Order: sequence, then structure tokens, then C-alpha cells
Amino acid sequence: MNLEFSAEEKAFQQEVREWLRANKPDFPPSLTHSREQTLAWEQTLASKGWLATGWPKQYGGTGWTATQRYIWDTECALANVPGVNPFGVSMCGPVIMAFGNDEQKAEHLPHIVNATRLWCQGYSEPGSGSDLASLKTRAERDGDDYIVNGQKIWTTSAHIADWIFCLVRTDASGRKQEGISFLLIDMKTPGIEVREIRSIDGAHHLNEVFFKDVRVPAKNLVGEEGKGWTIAKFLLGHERTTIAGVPLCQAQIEELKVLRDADPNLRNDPKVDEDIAALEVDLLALEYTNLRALERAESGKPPGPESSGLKIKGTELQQALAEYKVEMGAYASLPWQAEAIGEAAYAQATAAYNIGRASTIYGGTNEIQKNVLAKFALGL
Amino acid sequence: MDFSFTEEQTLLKDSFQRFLQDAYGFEDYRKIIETEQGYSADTWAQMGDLQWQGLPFSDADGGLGYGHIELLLLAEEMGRGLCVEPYMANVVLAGQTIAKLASAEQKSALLPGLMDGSRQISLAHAELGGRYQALWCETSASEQGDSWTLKGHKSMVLNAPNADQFLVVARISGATDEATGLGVFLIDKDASGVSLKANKVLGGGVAGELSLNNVAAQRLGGEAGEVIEDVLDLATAYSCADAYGAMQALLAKTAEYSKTRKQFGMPLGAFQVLQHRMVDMFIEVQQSQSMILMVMLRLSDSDRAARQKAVAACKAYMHKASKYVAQQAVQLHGGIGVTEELDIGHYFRRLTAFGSLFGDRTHQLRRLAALDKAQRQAQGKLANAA
Ligand SMILES: Cc1cc2nc3c(=O)[nH]c(=O)nc-3n(C[C@H](O)[C@H](O)[C@H](O)COP(=O)(O)OP(=O)(O)OC[C@H]3O[C@@H](n4cnc5c(N)ncnc54)[C@H](O)[C@@H]3O)c2cc1C
Repeated sequence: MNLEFSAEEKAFQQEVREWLRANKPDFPPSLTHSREQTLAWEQTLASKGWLATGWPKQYGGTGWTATQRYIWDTECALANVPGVNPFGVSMCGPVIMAFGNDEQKAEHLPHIVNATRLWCQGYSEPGSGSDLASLKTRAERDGDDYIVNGQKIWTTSAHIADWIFCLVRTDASGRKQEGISFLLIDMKTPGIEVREIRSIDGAHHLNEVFFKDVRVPAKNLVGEEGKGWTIAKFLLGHERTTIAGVPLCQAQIEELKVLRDADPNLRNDPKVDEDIAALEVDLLALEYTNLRALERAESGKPPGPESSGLKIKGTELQQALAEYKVEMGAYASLPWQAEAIGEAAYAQATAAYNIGRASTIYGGTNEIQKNVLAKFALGL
Repeated sequence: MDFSFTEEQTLLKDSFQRFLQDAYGFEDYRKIIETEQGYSADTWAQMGDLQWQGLPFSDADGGLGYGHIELLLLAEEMGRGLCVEPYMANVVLAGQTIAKLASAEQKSALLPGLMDGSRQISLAHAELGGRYQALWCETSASEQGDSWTLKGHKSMVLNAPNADQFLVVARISGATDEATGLGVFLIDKDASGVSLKANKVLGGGVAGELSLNNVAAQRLGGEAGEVIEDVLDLATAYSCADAYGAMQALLAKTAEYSKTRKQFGMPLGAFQVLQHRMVDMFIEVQQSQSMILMVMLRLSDSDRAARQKAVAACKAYMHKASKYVAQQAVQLHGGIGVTEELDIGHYFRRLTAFGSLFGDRTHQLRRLAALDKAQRQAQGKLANAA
């Protein structure tokens, strides 16, 4: 067993660190970024060739190993740079690579890898959240087009996106998982309306997207008609090595320590040391589980049982860290949508804790994750 | 043993609940929290007409003469109804400080306006450097002839932007964390040397950062440390009752939602894992109710330490319980739980703010342990421990 980074990996780490330091965006990190900010940062990454870190070189990706990606994610978290909008690079791109035809690849992959189009994900519907396969948004074939009618909800970033990838129902006759198709839709198509949903942190991340007789060229169908569920399942398993958010947690632990060290009330309190140490122990377990998943991915093996709990443990830990920061702030955590009182870092602590509750809900709730594990990991 | 409320108390509670249901729908609330003052002047005036603001003041002070039980029943309804009127700031924090400390003359100048809702006063006690220590105070008061001058900075002064006057806790003598040497001082919001930075507060309402630069002030009564501690304890008990009301609402709304929301062809409430979660919420609500009843009974204990321990224990328990109930209510609602469109998220914020107000679980557990050790010392049980 050996966990040391190789000499090349260490050099890579150094290169990444220096580049991030020199190219960090000048707007302060926040819980929401505008379209302009998102594009500016992603285009900076794209011009360096470092936007599509999980993609092969063939499509303009970095071609990095899983270890290099891990180093990259860690350095990004420590440098506190904005995250990359996942819907294009981490979701739609890989789907098009795996299931799309040459025309679709030529049309979409360059825009994703150059950050010239932003994407959003149209899966959930008012009646279909955990039970996604019951979705009702219809796409009916009409000559060379599909005509789409229905509604999506909880669509993150729809208000700043150029394109949306949707699961739509093309056939309602069989099992609910059958008859679902994967469709790419230009957000500028007539008949699409986006409505804001304000979140618990007071910010605008989420939207409802309404489709009324939206005419979508049939060439925007990815894969076969009726096989969209297979694609959806492919995507769910796709991000197994990054889903735990270990680098983000590491950066957050470091922030808690900095805040502790700066405040005599916290610095001289052994309970605070113990609390942070306990969080750190949980993080270490998560990190090593994540490394095990990474090692398997690196050597081309299928996901093992270790990757099962990564999302559950990762999201729980993210929530615990956010909660602890609120508690460390005491009164400084109480102002709402206002300037900081005292230590500036606490101004966003409560908003982050509030919206952080969503991490055990989106991407498959933790209850659903456990249902799946009970079945597939334990055979129950 | 008898845990039941009197008929009068039950009627009062019902009337609070009915009034808030009528005056304070969720849509009204959403508009109110977007306003600059963060409360509804109309509702506040109506409460004044109903003499709610006079509820805990004695007959002699011109109030209705009710005790803390009625006050906590009101708080429970405020929490259940997501009420953001500045009741705690005016009536509990400022009002009880005046009632316990001020001279008859000062009372007759301040209390009538406070009780009819026409005058608002905020208590400025907290300082960030002291974290939750009630009597940690750097703000200083110095005497020149028969007038006082204040200097310092106060944080999270609840409802400060709406206040006509402030009561400021300031140090006359002693070290920053000493229990004695403190006074309470009255100042006008427009007095020279006063500057206020307004903030919105998590969960509704407003507050301010108050800077005092040689502000002329009038002192209320004498040594103030014990009064401040007692008033903060009453405010803590009040906020626990408020939280208990909010927790009941969350439980009821979550259970109701789980009966109507269907996934996989059945109501969420049919999934056993969610049933158990809601049962755990239910148990926490029951335990919290017990803690509220415990506090109601013990707040009239003649032993001050017993009263303090009761409040500390109640808050320590309820901080944890309220977090659980709030987090699970959001989780069980799924996406709709993390929006502003549904009341669930607003209760969640209210309960988060509750946790940090006047001392979190850790702070209260430490107080409890310290009070307990002091008692054991007094009983001679710690004699050999040194
Ligand atoms: C911040 C945020 C961002 C999102 N972004 C997107 C996006 O960009 N695109 C998109 O398509 N969707 C998005 N979603 C939607 C997300 O995927 C859904 O919210 C999620 O799938 C849950 O669905 P629901 O909200 O309808 O909750 P429900 O499915 O109604 O679930 C409610 C509760 O019941 C539980 N439950 C349901 N079924 C079971 C069961 N069988 N056993 C045990 N418990 C069960 C759930 O775990 C949950 O606690 C986002 C959600 C959030 C909160």
C-alpha cells in the first residue's frame, strides 16, 4: 500500500496551486453567482484547458487521472474558488459522450468545454421527485419534431441557462421506467417559461420551468427513444469519486480552525477543540473511503461497496460543519441578509446552513440512497 | 399533582391563538418580514388595544397582573403563529427590566406607553466579546455630578431600529466579567453620541449595532446584575415556549403533508422509515412540552438558583430538540422544504435563531454544571474535592 503522491503528482499539485493563486476570480465567493460571474470564471478555466477535468483529451478535456482530479478539487476548495456549474461539464457532457451521435457531439461538446453555453437539469416534476420514473412531461412526435408539454421544478440555474437536458415521457403505455427519453432543449425555444422559486437562504437558485407546445427538433433526442431511464441511471453512478465533497469539507474544517484561533473565547475553550477534532475524525474516515473509491476507479474496477455511503456521509458531514459554524458565531450568526457584525465570515454562516439542508435532498434524497443500499449492498 | 391550566389560562391561550390566526396569515407574515421595520404596526396597535403588552406587569405598575405562565402561553402561540411583532424586545426584555429596577417615577414615565404599544424600548445588553455571558460588559458608565455618560458598543440589540429609547447595560466599576458594578441606563435614540446600524434578524424582526460615544444617560435604580440575569432568564424561557409552539406547528404540518404527498403510488406517511422519523419528532415535542411545564412550575421557586437551573436545562434540551424537529421537517418535505414559499422554511429559520439567542446548549449546560457545583459546595459535598 502506498498513498504518497508521485513526484509528477506533487509537481502537478504545485502547478495547480500557483495557477489558482494567480487566476482566482476577483469577485468574492458567495452562495450564488450571476450568469456573468459563472461564465467569466468557467471561461478562465476553459482557456487554460482545465474546465472539463473528468473528460478525455479527445473532447477537449484534461485527460487527468482520478488522482489528478482529486488534487485539483482539493486545491480549488483550499483556494476557495467558485465551483463549476455541474450540469454541462459533469452531467450532460458525459451523457453525450456515452450516448450521443457524432452530430450531437460536434454541436454541444465544444460549447460545454469552452463554457460558451450554460446547462441546467430538467428531471424533477411537482409530482415526481423521489419517484422520478413517474414523470409526466410529454414529448409527442410530430414530423421531425417533438412537441413538449409539461412542467419541471427545482431546476437549479434555469434562469441563467442556455440549454436544458430533460427526461420526458414519449410513451405512457408500458412500465413507468420505459417510455422515458432524454431530450436536449434550447431554453430560447418559444413556449418555455421560467419562474423563480426563492430558497430558504433567501437567494434565487431554483426555478419552475413550464413547457407549452414547445417544438424540439427530433435530432435533439440522445440515445434511443424510450431509453432515457438507462441514461439517467448512468449519470447517477457517474460521479462516484467526487460526490462526497471531501475537499470542500477539508476547506471548511480549515476555516473553522482559523475562526477558532482568531477568537479568544473559542481558542481557550477545550470543548471547541474536541468538537472540531470530532468533525475532523469523521472527515478522515470519509476521505479514506473516498480514496478507496478513487483507487478502484484509477485501476478501472467497478464501484465497490465503499462508494455506497459516500453521498450519505459526505452530505451529513457538510451539514454538521455548516451547523457548527453557526454555533461558533453565536450572536454574529444572527443577522440576516445584512452586513456582518463582528467576524465577517459569520455573515453567510446561517444562509449556508439553511441551504445546506438541501444537500440531503437533491441528487436522490438520503432516504432513497439508503433504500437503494439496503437492496444492492445488503440484498434486503 | 396537577399539570392542568386554569380555565382562565386556557381561555387566554385560545384567544391568543385565534387572534394570531386571524391577524397573521402566512401571506401577511411574508409581507411583514420584507418591510424595513420588520413588524406590523397595525397588529402591534391591536395587541395594545387588547392589553397584551400589559400582560405580565403588576396591577400596581398598571398591567394585567398575570404571571409567567400566561406569558409563556402567549409565547407559545407567537411561535406557532410565526408572529414577528416585537413583543419579547419591548415587554419582556425592556419592560421587565424597568419593572424590576426603575423608580416609581421612571416607571410612570415609561410603562404606560410601552403597555399601550405607543412607545418602544430596546434593551442593549449583549457584547460580542462576551459571547453569551450575561454580565460581560465593556461598555462603561461614568458619573459626573448627577448625570451619567456612556461609552461603548452593544450588539444584537433586538428591535433597536424601532425603539424610541434604549436601556443600556453598562459597567460602573470592576472587571469586564464581574457580576457586580453594573447599571442600567436610559438614553434617547436621538441623543448626541448615539449611532445605530440596523440589521434584519434571522427568523424575522430587526436588530441593531449600537455605538455609544459619550452619551448622556439617566440611571435606572441601583446595582443591576441580578436583574439583568433574571430578565434574560425570563426571555430565555419565553423563547423556549415560542420554540415549542413552532415545533408543534412543524410536527403537525409534516404529519399532514406526509398523508397527502404521494410518491411511488403511496403517501409518504406509509414509508416506515418516515413514520419512525415523525414519531421521533413527536417524542421530542412531548419532551419539550414537559420542559416548558417544568419551567413554568419552577420559575416561581423562591430559590434563585433553582429558577436559573430550570431555565438553563430547558434551553439546553430544547436547543437540541428544536434542531432535530426543524431539520427533519425540512428533510421530510423534500424540495419544497428548502424554499421561502412554504412556512416550513420560515419555522426552520425561527428555530435556528432560537438556538443562538441568549446562549446555546453548550452555554446552558455549563451554567447548569456551575450552578450545581456551587450548590454542592454549599452543601459541603465538595469539601474533599479540592
Ligand atoms: C437545492 C435543490 C436543487 C435541486 N436541483 C435540481 C435540478 O437542478 N434538477 C432537477 O431535476 N431536480 C433538482 N432538485 C430536485 C431534487 O432532485 C428533488 O427535490 C428530490 O429528488 C426529492 O424529491 P421531492 O422534493 O419531490 O421530495 P419527495 O420525493 O416528495 O420526498 C419527500 C420526503 O420523502 C422521502 N421519501 C420519498 N420516498 C421515499 C421512500 N420510498 N422511502 C423513504 N423515504 C421516502 C424523501 O426522502 C423525502 O425526505 C433539486 C432540489 C433541491 C432541494
